[in-house]
Formats: sequence, structure tokens, C-alpha cells
Amino acid sequence: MATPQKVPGSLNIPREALFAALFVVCSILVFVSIELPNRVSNNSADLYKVLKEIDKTKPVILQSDWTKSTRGESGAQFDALVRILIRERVKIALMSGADPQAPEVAREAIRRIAVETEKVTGQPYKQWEDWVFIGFFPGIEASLQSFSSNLRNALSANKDSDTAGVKRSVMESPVFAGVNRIEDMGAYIIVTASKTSRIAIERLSGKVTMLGLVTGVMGPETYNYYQSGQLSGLAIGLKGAYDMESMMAYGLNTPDGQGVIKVSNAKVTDPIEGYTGEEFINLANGQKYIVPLHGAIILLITAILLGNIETIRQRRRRNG
Amino acid sequence: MIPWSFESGSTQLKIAIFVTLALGFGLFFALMKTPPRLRPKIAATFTFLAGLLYVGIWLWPTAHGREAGDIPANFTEGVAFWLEDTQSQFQNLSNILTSFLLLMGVFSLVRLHATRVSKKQRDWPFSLVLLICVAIMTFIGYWDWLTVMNMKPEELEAMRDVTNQPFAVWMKDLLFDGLLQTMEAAMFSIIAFYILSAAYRAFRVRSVEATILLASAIIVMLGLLGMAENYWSIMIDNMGGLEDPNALVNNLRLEAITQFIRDNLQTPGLRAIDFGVGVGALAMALRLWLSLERGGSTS
Repeated sequence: MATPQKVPGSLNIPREALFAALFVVCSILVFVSIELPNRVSNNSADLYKVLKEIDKTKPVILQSDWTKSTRGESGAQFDALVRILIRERVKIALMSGADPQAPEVAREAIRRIAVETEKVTGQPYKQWEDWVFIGFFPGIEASLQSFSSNLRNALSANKDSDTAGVKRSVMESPVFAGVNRIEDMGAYIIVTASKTSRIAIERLSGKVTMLGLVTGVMGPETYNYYQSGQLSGLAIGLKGAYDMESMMAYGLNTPDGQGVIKVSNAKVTDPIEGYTGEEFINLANGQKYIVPLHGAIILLITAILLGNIETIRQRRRRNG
Repeated sequence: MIPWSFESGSTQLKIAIFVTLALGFGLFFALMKTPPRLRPKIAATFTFLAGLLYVGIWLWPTAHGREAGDIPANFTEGVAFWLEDTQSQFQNLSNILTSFLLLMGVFSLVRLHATRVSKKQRDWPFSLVLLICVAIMTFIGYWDWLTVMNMKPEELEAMRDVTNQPFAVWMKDLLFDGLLQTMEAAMFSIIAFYILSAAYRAFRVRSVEATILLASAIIVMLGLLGMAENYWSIMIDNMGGLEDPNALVNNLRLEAITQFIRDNLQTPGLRAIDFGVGVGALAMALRLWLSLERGGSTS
């Protein structure tokens, strides 16, 4: 893109100055640790409600399709989600279907959060017993179609290491005890930065409770499926991550010691407890990155306004 | 045991791999010897049969409540069982075929850059760096995999402490998490700079449509800011919105406006586009399945 020529007396801001402003604003604000006020979106509140009320005896399938390129949004969402699932002692069947890097990123995050939670609760969350990696599925369309028909058949040939280090069929893991079909799962949760949520919804909707955690870019088109009821809850972008963290820290519609409700929602009106009173990490990367996001968006709006002021001035100059 | 599935490292598996490879090469050779006029018809037949399976799955009655070891009661149930069992084999086939695409991508990348280096074409040092990186990453990746595969559970447990990590694992962490993932995040974040620059230069009030777009964009952006939403709501509360929940002024809350834009303008628009794309995809799928595309066997 060519930089327009500077007109004397005009507001034309060079591209380099805009770049520098964004760099400075985001770099400084990432170190500012403040808790910004937040109003939880309806879709995030629904997501939190479903997660808190999930049947703990049933495992969930967690499809993780994000890599570090979207770690600001997806990473924060994934951490918050896994924190909730581990604290609720829900068993996880982890899988990926979009990027070969995704499984490694997700496994590392689950291991990290399992250790973090164990320090507080004293209860380990072990691979094979509490969570299992069921595989990377490059042909995700056919795989999900197969999950939809017969989950046990679809996964019987996939293996993971048991606690003794022996490779065994994932269906022999305690995670899948009593599970034969997709309908036996507690939920199908997808964390994605691409269109894989759509592939999953097309094949599994109506058979299992589906939840989505998507990036801001994917938000508008995935919101369609939340509005239609095919997704029971949805977190969108960094705001979604911060919403989840806020609800984890203060509960939803739950008064604190002084009777003040810090986080409320007009759609989900039942009081839902958070994870207060223990040394749990609730406010994490969502809170950390929402401050620079505020800075970046304010800068973006300011730049748009300045650009338009310049346009109006030029128009006036032209008209004499 | 699932058909076609054998224990890792077993003789049966080795025989199965050998037979499959021999059959694969045999088929490949036979296809090469087939007259060119027949080849599209063979491809069309396989495409039709593969598609027919999924049409069958969609249309054939499903065997509800099937338990392991159940025997089909009649022909209809027998076909339903067969369709259900065949799907997992198709799933494996699809995953293997897609993995080959990844392999083909790597092969193509290496061939392109190796040619560039050998002929010392323009910017060849960058190609050399790429080839070295591919080689190192592949080597370290496999070394790490083999190291972890051969570790005992207590050694794996001890690895939680990073000081106990073997060199291969440490190197993989350094290259994958420390370098590749960080660089990927940095590359992606560069987009923000271009968005800012483009928004400043292009988002101008030049027409009525552009003005409407600009106004809605600013409202939606403000809706992403919890702080703005909060102070805007306080303002509405002070205007009487808090005392009367049904007051008209409550419709001016930022979240109400953004929700309105999202529910009534953005989502229906996207839904209409999606619907059109879906109908188009269905037509395209039919044309592919029946090989009606130009150059197909029936054209």
C-alpha cells in the first residue's frame, strides 16, 4: 500500500508512526495488571452454565484445533476451559483435526494445568486415567462421521500409553468406561481458530451437547450455530476468555461477602458458583491480554476518527 | 478385534503391511498400463462407489441400540451393521490419504528449494536455511519421539522437572515451543499493524453506505471493550434505566445495540451467504460424485 503524499497542514499520519504507536501501546499495556470492568456476554454465560452443570460421570471430547499463532485468544480460552474441567473432575478425551502442531500444544497445556490444580487440590489428574489423547485426525470429515455412527468402532484402533507406558486402545482407558456411542459423552467441546467447528456441528449436532470456543475472526459465523441452538454455549475471542475468567473468579449472579454481585448476566439468571475461597488461578491470560486489546481498539477507533477528520478537512478545502 | 487391525509390531501386521504395499504397487502399475480412455472411467467408478457408501449411510435405516457381538436379525439390519462397521475403515483410509498430502507438501517444498540451492537461483541462501531447518526439526522430532517412547513411566513422571529432561526432549522444547511457536505467534501479530494502517487510510466517510458501515463497526468495536460497556451502562442507569427495567432508554445500552446489530444484521447476512454456499456445495458434490464435471468420464 503506497503512503499518500503529505499535504501541507494536513493530518496525514505516516504508516510508521501508526505502527510505532501500536507497538508502544500494546507493549506497555501488556505489563499493566489491572482488572477491567466486564459485562459477560449471553453466549459466554451459557457456556459457563453448561460446563458447571455437566454430568461429571460422563467424559467430554475436547477437539483442540489451535496453535500458538492464536494463543492470545485460543490459548486463554483453552486454559480457562481446562481449568474448569479439571476442577470439576470431568474426564477429557483430547483430539485434533486441523493442524499437526495442535495436539502438542494442547497436551502441554493440559499437563501444565493438571500440575497447577494438583498443587491446590492435592488430586492428580493423570493421562490415561483422567484424560487420554485419542488422536490427530487429518481427514476430520470422515472421522467425525464415523464418531457419529459408532464411537467405539471409530476409536478402537487408536492407541495411547497407559500408566505402565504400554500402548493400548484408547477405548480401554478409564476415560471411556461405559461409553459406546457419541450420545454417551457429556459434551463435545471444540476450541478452534478455523472452520472445524462447522464440520463437527454438521455431523454431531443433535447427538451430543456441543460447545464452542472460537477466535474473534471466526466469531460471527460460529454465532449462527449458537443462535440456532446447535451450540449450547460459545466463547468468542479474547472477550470470551475474559468472560470465562471473570465468572470463574466471582461466580455468575453470585453475591460476594458484602452482598455485591460482581458478574451478572441478563439471560442466565441462576446463581452459578465460581472458584472462590481457594488458591485457584482464575484471572490469567484473558485478564492479562484484555488490557492491551482495549488499548489497541481505542487506538484503532482514534485512527479511524483522525482519518475521517482529515477527509472532512480535505473536502472543505476542495469546496473552498 | 476390529478387522484389519493388528497388534503393533506383530508378524500379522508386518504381513498385512507387505501385502498392502504389494497390492498398492500392483494397482499403481496396472493403472499405468491401462489405456488412457479407460482411466477416467475407473476413477469415476471409484468416486461413485466411495460416495455411494455415504449416501447409503444417510438413507439406510440405522441399527439403533446395537451392542457389541449382536448378530443382525435380517438383511436390512445386516446392511446397517455393515455400513456402520465400514465407516471406521473409511475413516482410517481418509486419515492416511490426507497424511500423504502432508508428505507430498513436504516433498514438493524440499524439491523446490533444493533446486533453487543447487542452481544458485535468486535468494538461494534463504532456501538453504529452510532446508536446514526442515532437516533439523525432522531429526529432533523423531529423536524426541523415540526417546519418550522408550521411557519408563517413572522416568516420564520425573520429566515434570525440566532439569531431568533428556537432551532430545529439551531440544524439541527449545525448537518447537521456544522458537517455532513463538515465531508463528509473532508472524500472526504483525496483521494488527496492517489492520491499523488500513483502517486509518480506508475507513473513510465517502458515501452513505460507508458511513453506516463505519458507525456499526465503531459500535461493535466499542462492544468488545468491557470498560466502555460498563461506563455506557452507568450513564444509561443514571438516565433512569436502572429504576425501570422496561424503560425505553434501556434499548440504548451498548450491549443492547451490539446485540441488535449482531442478531438482526450480521448473523442473518452471514446465514444467507452460508445458505447459498451450502446449496452450491451440494450441487458441486453431486457433479463430482456423478463425474459430471467438464472432462469427467460422462461429459
